[in-house]
Amino acid sequence: MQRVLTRLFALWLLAALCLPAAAQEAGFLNSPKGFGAQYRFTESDGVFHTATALIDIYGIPTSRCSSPGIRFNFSRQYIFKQLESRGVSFTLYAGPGLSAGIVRDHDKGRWFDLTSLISENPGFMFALSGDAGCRFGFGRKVSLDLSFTADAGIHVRRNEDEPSYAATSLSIYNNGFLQAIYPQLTVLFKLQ
Amino acid sequence: MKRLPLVLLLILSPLVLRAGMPRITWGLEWGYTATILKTSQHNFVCDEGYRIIENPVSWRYFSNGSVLACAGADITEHINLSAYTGLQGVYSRRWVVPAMLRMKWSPAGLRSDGFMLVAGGGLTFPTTVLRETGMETQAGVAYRIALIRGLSLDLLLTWNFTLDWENITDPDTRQWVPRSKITNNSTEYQALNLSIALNF
Repeated sequence: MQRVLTRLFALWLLAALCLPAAAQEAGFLNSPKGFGAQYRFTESDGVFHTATALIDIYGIPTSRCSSPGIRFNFSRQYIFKQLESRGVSFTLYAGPGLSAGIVRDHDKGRWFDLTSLISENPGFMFALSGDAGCRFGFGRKVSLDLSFTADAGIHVRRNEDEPSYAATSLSIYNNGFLQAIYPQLTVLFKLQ
Repeated sequence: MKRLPLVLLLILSPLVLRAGMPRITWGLEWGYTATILKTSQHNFVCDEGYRIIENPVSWRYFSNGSVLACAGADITEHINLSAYTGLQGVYSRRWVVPAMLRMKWSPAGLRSDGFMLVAGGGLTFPTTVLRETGMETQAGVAYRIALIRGLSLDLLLTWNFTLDWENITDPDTRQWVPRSKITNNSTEYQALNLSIALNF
């Protein structure tokens, strides 16, 4: 699993080095889900694309597991409203996307339940995502973006009930829905 | 300890009087904390009846996070004083609620872009496994990006020093040593913190 994570990270790093040429903005994504990097590609005809790499901290703040997961998302965003007030521009957008990664899900405890340990059993997640947000522009090199993302998908992992066999279990990726209410605040820096 | 607020008030009052009414500020701050050093001083009588004095030093990288809310005032054009509280990770299964005073000094002015010096300190209250109130001090630098009037973004890099207590385990029984048998018990954590703050 460590090897897969290392390869995925290397792939993301390679993409991150190549992407800035096409990206309009890059930034840090901050959320209770985790933290990561986001590239926002040049807008054209009210449509832009975002590429996000997120370090998934599910289970870590509650000390139920020790290593994070990682997931990637690529979305196509449609701008449906633009407003301006007191020097701040508001760009409202929404759009679909694809998510994939290695994350934890289906633990036996929730929230700050410190007595139940999450199973150290990360699995692959694949999902269709829905994104909606608002970008706050201040006429500066820095802008803010507040968004929400829901992931409807599956989680494939080793079957905990059959540890001696190489059995897999497949289920709905719960956190894709449960974490949809977690806000994501991205601090974006203009590259061009 | 009870005189501290009065002393602070006396020190700060000339600044406030000179600047007129201070502007009230509030904000949110969240960040990543990398704890790298843990030192302890234990002096206790173990179950077998002999005294153990140990000073373990542990260089271990441990990731944590913090989410804080603050309220304060720009007491001059260059100095902001704010009270912070929230939730902060210190070490493995060590979450604390800090009550902290922090000062920011911006040579360029608090309403412009520029570097700032940050220093603060306060008490930390335990959430789960800890039983005693601890202390924390921090110092570092920050870069302020003034987005619009009344909204700014700070990128902070601070060094955090947390004084804490921990449960001592008896080497023979593997049970926690009762407080009556402990003469000295203190633990210090040193950490590097990277934070983002939104100020209103």
